[in-house]
Amino acid sequence: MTRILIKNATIYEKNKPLQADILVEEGIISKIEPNLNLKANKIKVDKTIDATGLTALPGMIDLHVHCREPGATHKEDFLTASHAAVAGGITTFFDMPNNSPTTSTIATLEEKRQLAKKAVMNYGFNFGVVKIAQNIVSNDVKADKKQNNKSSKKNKETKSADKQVTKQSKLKIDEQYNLEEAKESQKYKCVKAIKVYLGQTTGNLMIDDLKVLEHLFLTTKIVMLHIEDDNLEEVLELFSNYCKKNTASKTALYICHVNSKKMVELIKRYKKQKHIEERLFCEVTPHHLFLNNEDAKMLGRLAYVKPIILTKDDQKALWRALEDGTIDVVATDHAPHTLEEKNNPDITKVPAGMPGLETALPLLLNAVHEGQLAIGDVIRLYSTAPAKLFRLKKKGRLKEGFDADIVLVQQKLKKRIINDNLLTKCKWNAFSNRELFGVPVYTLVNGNLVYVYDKFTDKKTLHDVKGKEVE
Amino acid sequence: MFFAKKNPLKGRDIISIHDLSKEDILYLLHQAADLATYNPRLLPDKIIASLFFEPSTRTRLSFDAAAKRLGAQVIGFDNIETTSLKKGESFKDTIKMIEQYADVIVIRHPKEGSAQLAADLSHVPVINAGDGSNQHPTQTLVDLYTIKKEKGKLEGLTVGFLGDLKFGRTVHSLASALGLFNANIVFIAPKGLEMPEEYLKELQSKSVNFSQTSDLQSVAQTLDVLYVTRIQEERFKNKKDYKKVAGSYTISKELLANFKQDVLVMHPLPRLEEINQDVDDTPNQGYFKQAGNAVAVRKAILASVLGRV
Repeated sequence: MTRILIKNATIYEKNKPLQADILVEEGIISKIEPNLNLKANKIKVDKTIDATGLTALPGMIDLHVHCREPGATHKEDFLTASHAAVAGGITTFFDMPNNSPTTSTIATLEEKRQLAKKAVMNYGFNFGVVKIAQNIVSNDVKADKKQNNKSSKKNKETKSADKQVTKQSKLKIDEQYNLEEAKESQKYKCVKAIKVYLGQTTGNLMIDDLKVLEHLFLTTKIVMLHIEDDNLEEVLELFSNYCKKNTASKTALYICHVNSKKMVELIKRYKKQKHIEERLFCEVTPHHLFLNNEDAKMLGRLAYVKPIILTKDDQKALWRALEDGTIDVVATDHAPHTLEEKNNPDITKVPAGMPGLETALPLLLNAVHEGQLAIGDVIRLYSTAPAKLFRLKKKGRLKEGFDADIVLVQQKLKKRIINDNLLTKCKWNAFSNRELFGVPVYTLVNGNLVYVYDKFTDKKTLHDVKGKEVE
Repeated sequence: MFFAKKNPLKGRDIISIHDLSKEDILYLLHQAADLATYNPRLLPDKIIASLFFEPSTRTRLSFDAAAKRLGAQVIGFDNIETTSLKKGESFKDTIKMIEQYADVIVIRHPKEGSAQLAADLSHVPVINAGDGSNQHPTQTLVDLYTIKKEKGKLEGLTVGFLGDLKFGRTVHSLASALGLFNANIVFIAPKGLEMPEEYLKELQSKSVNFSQTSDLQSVAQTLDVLYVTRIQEERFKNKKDYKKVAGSYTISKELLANFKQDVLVMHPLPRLEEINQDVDDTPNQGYFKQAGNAVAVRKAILASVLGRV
């Protein structure tokens, strides 16, 4: 039996600091006690971590990560993403489905489950909804090409394409989209949510028919929505009506990466409705919290994300929404692209997204240092609330009997973000060169020490740990 | 406020490295690592008296910089010609006066034991910045910090001391401090400049592992750290002997090829010809890093004895 003793850590109950020793046995937190007396209980430990001066937090849980595997492993893969994550104090993450091929069938899900075994941490997946009548769209493209090549066949080709399109509109909604597979995916414990794209981003998962949502509300636990503010009200109204009609349903709607004042104000208004309580959630990313369009101007193409980074006013509104509880969760939307891709001279070809796993917790801890947040808020927004929302048993809190996903951070240590030292495969970060207070020093996943940072030598050590699918 | 362990240095004098336990030393090194990259205004209400009865540019300026980085004020002198000591005021009276002006006294004096005397007289903490050939504990802490930073650990290293070991106080202090961390120590000295018998006995009594040799090449492959000290010409009867001995111990890039690839070369500075300039640009160079680390370590010392960390 492996036992690790974490000695003399600072832990937080609400926002009160306490000194305690944490005993980890067989991947579980077995005891949290001040001055734990192991001799009296005749307990021998395999490893003792001196956590004097360190704060123990439950491992962070990131619901929104793009590991880029399969399809774009030159940007990132499950191993490098998990290395970056544990270095950022994250012990569980959920991978998004916009890969190539998209994770929208049981077969692609099974393939991804195999690929994800490389990760050194806990992981799960969000399943994608796509138009399965897409073959018609690609026929159209082919038809276009043929038109150019062989103008003689022009009329014939156009006609056949027209026929297919008209045929498509007659299909029922569950024939047009992979809703059967989406329902099937819900049987997997590692799939916690269905991701729906109502806005353009990396990949090919755009949905334009809101009927899809109505259908999904009936068949899934959590619908994660990528949406921009122009049709948010319509969707919220739809969800509100659904909730009114189906009071027994527990389906939750989760709005990804809110970025504007308008969005948070709308969500706040709908959250106040009685029948929608505990069923509407939203997420904010660190880059929307810590950057505004002035910073984005300086960063240029690197700051191009979807949804885009807005004004100081919107940024302020996000912080207010964080304070008043409108925003439930922080998640990175870690979306790595290589620097060459981001610096493409053709601005129309610059992909949206930036990496964030390694800097999310340090940015939040730095906000604690500057008095913008309390440490309890960080734990709630980035661990407890995500665990509760995705119904992850025994995660999200430092408590006896819970999984030993623990990050030990040094709050008063300042560290500069340096691109070359990052563990993400894309080796850059929009917060590069910023100095942040709050450094993850040790990360434990299921009771295994996976990451150690040495402040004297600035060295990061990763241990080979077998990751685990969430349950 | 997040540091859980009680600060073991608060209100204490730092006169000799022997007064510090392993825990005290580790506490200071950790504080130094934390303060290395930032300058919180921990001491805005504190006055530090810097009494230099003999000149020492590096030590005085690094203490000065450390104090000012933390927001403290510094008073004092570095030239006794301009003080009342010139008028015949006794050392004792000087200390009794200054302790009422300042919150901590940093003292350097050519006479052995003077720092301890000052500590006995003063109610405020006294930090020894070197008393003759006796003790220089803050320099030892800087050396320990540099080794930890460069080698990643202090525990179980093999450290060679080269040069004039008879009169080198840095060597005496650092060797016994490294003993706390289970180091293997190798003393490499020419005949007549070996470690004094009394120090060796002291190390024995502390059960420190050490060996002696005059042949650098024979131990080159074993060393993690090579600590070089200056061989002074005046210790030799004739110039020829000096040239011969000094020449055989000059560290050059070429010589380093026989050592472990990551051997760390240290020197308390100022150096003369003991280390060839071609070593400066190698990754093995540690002596300028020592100088750079001095401010971080002295910040940690001041903040700790004043109870602000």
